[in-house]
Amino acid sequence: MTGRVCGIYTAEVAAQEMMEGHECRLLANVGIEGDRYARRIGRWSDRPKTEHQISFIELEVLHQIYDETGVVLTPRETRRNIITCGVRLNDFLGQTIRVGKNALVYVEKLNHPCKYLERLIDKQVMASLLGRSGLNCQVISGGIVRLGDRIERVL
Amino acid sequence: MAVRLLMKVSVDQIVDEGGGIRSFYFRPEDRRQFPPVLPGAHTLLRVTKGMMRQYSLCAPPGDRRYRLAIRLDPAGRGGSRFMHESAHVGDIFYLSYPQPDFLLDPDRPSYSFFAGGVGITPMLSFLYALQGRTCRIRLCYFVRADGAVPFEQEIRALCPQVEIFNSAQGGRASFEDLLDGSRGDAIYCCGSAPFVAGVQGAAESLGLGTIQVESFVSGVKAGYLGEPFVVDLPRSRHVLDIPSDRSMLDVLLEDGVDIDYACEAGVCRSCIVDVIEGEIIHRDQCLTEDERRTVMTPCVSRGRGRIVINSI
Repeated sequence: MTGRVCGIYTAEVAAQEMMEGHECRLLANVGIEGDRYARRIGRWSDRPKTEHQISFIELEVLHQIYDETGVVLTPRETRRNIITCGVRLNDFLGQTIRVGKNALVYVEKLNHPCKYLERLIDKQVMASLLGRSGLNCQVISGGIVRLGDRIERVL
Repeated sequence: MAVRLLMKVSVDQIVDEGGGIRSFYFRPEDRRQFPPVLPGAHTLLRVTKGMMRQYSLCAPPGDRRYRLAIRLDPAGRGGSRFMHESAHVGDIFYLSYPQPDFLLDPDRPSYSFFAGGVGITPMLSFLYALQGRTCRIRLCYFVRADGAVPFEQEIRALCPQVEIFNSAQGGRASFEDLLDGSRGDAIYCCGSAPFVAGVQGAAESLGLGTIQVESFVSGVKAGYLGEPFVVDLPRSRHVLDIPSDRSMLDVLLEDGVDIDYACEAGVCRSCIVDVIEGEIIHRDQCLTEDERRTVMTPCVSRGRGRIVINSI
């Protein structure tokens, strides 16, 4: 099962509107260079957990939410770092995936949507995201990730 | 409700307006231009990690920057002191999208604006919005300034008939007397909590009905002395005792919880948390009854017995 990176987003501080990039650098056991969690000033950085180092969500989920509810949830608004296409992320739970040429991330847990996001973006999306809110992962091995890069399970 | 996301900005210019007030002009760093601002809207300034402060947006039309006027309060909670003492041109900050909570009804034939001190700032944006309109405008500006009255030149250019009451020079007026001349006007008021309460009280005694008010610090005292209770934070596996002489927000911050806060008075919505179990004693002035079933403002509200918080 192989997917592609179709969006890369980071924020420097908690609650900052996500900034779109063409590439990012994953740092082993830290997160994404320059991102709020790597800088330890993210929403949950007071209780640091490895699962906050990098997050993923499927572009297809955003399309489904629009089809089902009419709510436009943009990739930027999800506040996830990596937007994927062509892959079912939930199937990666508990596994290690390769992103790009070298970066490896361990899929620690399925993301649980929160009202914090709703309040930030002023959209009712929590219920729509339940069960398909993406992944929270630890960076096992660093590397550069670019738009279009492959995402695949490490066998 | 509005988008509360933060935008990266830099200080472009700092202007001393007199009376302990400085205008800070910001320009965007992560976008080409700022979102448009409705007259009267405010923004949340991230002063430091966790510390947010509310300020009205009052840049003249045509200036694509955001302007915030900040009065130094040496005895305050530290936000204004930080900005006056430590902020310089070029420094990076983060500002929220505009929060349109105090808005001008644009179609009224006559307006009366009551401003106390730095509460003049949303009135400035109202005056700019009403420029060129054929309506009657009255502005009563209460200020204490030993030297120049903050924004006087700018105000007089927009509203030559402004009535300035400078208490440092003996300027006084009765709210009742002034409001008696504002019957039929759309009345707006902004300033300190006692100032706003005074104008509201006078309006009520005259039977003027509802007036539109904004105050970034409410009459509710931060750290309200109240009921001791227990907060359970299952996500972080912490259980915290909240004693009667401290606010829940204080205890959360001391425990290292990464929580935004601004007014510390139950008016700004910055510190809202989700409650999944337990009885809440609400003392905010910002939540709807529907919201109060599931969220609370820990800066002023409390629990009865034990409450369980899900969002931190």
